[in-house]
Amino acid sequence: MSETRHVSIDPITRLEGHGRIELFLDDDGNLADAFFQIPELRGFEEFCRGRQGEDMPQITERICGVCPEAHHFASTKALDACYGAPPPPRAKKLRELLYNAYIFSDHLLHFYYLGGPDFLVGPYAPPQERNIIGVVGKVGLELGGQVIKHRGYGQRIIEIVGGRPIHPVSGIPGGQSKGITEEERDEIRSMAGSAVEFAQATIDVFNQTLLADENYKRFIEEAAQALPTYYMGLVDEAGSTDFYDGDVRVVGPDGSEYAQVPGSEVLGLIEERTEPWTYVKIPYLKDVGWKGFVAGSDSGVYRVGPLARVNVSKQMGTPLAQEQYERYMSFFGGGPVHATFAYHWARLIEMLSAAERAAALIDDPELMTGDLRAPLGEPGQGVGVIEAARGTLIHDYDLDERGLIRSSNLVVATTHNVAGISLSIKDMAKEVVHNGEVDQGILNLIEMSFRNYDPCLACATHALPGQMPLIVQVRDPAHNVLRRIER
Amino acid sequence: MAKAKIGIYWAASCGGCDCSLLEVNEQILDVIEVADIVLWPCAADAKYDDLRGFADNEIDLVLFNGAIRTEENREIAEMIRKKTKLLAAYGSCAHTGGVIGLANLSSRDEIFTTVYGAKENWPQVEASQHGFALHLPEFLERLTPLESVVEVDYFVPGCPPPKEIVRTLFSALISGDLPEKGTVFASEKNLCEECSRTREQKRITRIVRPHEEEPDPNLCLLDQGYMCMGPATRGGCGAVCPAANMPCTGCAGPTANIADQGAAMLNTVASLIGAEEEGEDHLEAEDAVIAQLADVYGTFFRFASANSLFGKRYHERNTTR
Amino acid sequence: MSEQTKSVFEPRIVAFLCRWCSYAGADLAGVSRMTYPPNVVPMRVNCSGRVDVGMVLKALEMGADGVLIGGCHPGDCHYVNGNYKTRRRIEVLRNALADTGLNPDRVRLEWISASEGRKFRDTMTEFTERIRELGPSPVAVEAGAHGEG
Repeated sequence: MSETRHVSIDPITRLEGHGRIELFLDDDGNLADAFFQIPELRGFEEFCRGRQGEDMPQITERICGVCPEAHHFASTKALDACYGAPPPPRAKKLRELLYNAYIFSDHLLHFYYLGGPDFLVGPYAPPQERNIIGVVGKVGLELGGQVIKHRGYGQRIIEIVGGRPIHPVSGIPGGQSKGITEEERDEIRSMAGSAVEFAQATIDVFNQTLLADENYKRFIEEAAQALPTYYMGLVDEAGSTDFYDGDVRVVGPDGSEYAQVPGSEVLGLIEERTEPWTYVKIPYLKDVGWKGFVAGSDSGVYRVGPLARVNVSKQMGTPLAQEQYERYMSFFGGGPVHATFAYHWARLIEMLSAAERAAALIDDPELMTGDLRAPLGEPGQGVGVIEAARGTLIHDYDLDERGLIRSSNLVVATTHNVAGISLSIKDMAKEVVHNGEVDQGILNLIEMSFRNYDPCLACATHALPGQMPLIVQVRDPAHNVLRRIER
Repeated sequence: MAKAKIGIYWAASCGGCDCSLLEVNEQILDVIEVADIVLWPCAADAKYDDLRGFADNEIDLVLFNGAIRTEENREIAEMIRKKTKLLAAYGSCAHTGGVIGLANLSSRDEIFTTVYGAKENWPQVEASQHGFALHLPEFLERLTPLESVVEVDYFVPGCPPPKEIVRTLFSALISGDLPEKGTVFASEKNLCEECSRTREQKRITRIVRPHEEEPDPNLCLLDQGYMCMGPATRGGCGAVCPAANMPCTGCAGPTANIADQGAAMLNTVASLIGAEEEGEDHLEAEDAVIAQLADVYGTFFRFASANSLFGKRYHERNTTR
Repeated sequence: MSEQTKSVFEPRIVAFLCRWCSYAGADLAGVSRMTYPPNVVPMRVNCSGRVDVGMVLKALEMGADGVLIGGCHPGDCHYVNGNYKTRRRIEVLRNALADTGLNPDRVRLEWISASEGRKFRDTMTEFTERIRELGPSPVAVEAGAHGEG
């Protein structure tokens, strides 16, 4: 009995980044406690100091090679604000085109390569088969080939618009470094159209596999795997999910609005705490307060990412995804949806929406004519907010008079979810660990509970430092700085 | 014929190198025809206990990305070295330390202070929570490339290695025709050889930062005053960054004949800086251009600082900064 | 660094001297029996323009506490414009070294002609004392050059 008192899942797998789950059992072999530890840290906030502002999109995107586009454009948007230079329509649409291709590609990666195999192959399948190779084996080479092809399409669009498929280079303050040719546009149009169809086909796969799976159905229906938390995401003026831009909206566990603020003010809503046993920090809603690892309206724990975005938005903003959104909401009897395993479903609705947006943008005439760069003002302070695949991402920079980074705040998607993940793995462990029986299938179920969130742990260990000053700059219509307030 | 056993592992990494292996699209299916992927934490479920279970040299090839940042990175690198016949330092971090090598400009205490604030908030290698003992790997004082802790057989430069290079690597694996130890999977020539821009070898009369101006798409970026690392950087990527109107940042590390990539570029830039003519009348103008260099570390030493004098900060008194 | 080490600190200095001017100037100082500190290791190069940033860094990494580069006066370079490049390179390097936290005074460029034996002697003496004042180079200390490891 004493041999099974402590079980490590080390490392956790099929996600981005390093993590470990430590399980401690009581004398009856049931769960006493569970910890989600992140054993990695690289220190970007420290070595970004002194760097040239315009280098930050390429430096910060190395926080994560699965979602570099998110950092690249959160950074670029922060620089737009630092220089008082919103990009001209052509540059903005090019960025949005790339960005929606990224969301499509990243969500595809998660469903087929990372979290999806647990259901596509089966949670109790042998570990050697619970991966993309097992998925291809199970669904067949034809669908498998389509998976590979369409991820390739997403990446190719990023490459064309951004210069490289991983760690793109085109984001600059006030614009884009390059446009696209007519041939490239034709190539993208065909890929984007195919992406929409493939996203729909993926939802069919979901309906036939996950929604038909006893385990999945149980998990999305039982309270033990639901967390009534707050939710955060970006919405546009109509209240639709917008991955690239918008205001930050936070709703409570009952769906009521907690806050809706511009990106530049979101840092004022949250605070973070440290724990000695993990390198990641844990944000929570400041005014609700930290009440421990618990969910509910009295706890400042909140979540981000697909489940959250679908909860904070009023509609999807694109027609086919909207149909899926209505079907989803109808299944759950309206929002907010607290079932953690619903992340997989919400993610596919977003994958479709992103493909639709890319397909719509490619024929926008403003994409091909006009300026690529806006004139820049004097460098100062600015915030860029964007929705990474995994959740809200914030870059806040203060540039000195030479345009070098004086200080930077980065609040990164998965960090917001750390408390939620900790809760989810513990709830699952409580449910599945009994009498000291712990086999690899049971351990995998515990891992499945964090895979819902599509965590990016290299991202997570870059979060709001506690002592940064709040800086506000007031600019005139010509983008000159009138006042700078520092607190 | 028995399938080869290959592994893919990440130390202090961003995951981009793991994703780069997928950029070959369908070729990955040919790879899995000839090889079983026995370790790949990003995409498969083998755990450290499974790795421990392999006999020495049982694995045929491991592609190891990421730099050595924590005690765990070092320990697993040493374990992998024992278990595999061939080990490749894959990607800039494993090869030369990568952009995260810039963390070496600060001490561990400085990094922790910036990230966590006061010392009482710092994570601990040994901690106790609710009576349970929890352990974190130590954050090493310096970050180093893979070669600093184990012998490396192959080097695959790039951040991440471009798909053309990955295809070459996979083709070698698929055919069973792996090259000799010490091979670097990249061009022996510098980026300028692949770049389609026209080089006129002008003087740099002004240092231009990429956001200040739109460059002429046909002319060499260095000629136009942009700090392009091309001359000191290995090719093999097709010079895609200059093609996107952005200067090369040197992610593939130095060419074989250069020991210190940043020093070589400082040299090149200094040689090129100047007025149209050289002479005593132009010294002040030259100094004015030199003064425009704003961030030496971030511009010239971004990916390969670990083994350079510029791979750390010193703390002399009586300095000008 | 112990007090005893401090009191016996002898700077190790590498001087890259161009053969046409500053090395000849050094010879002249020698032939004229001018004394200057023995701390300097002279390295003859064909032109000060031969000295690149990497060589200076290498000297520092190998244990030099100070590096001096001697060349022809501007306008007098035997190879016409080699020393203009040297000037820019050393200027770029000194600025860059200041960013590292090293004292840029550890690297010095001086124009010394073949007839300036006295200037050679004075420069070497001054530079040695300046380095003695600065103490051992942190780079040299790390390289184990001063015995402490």
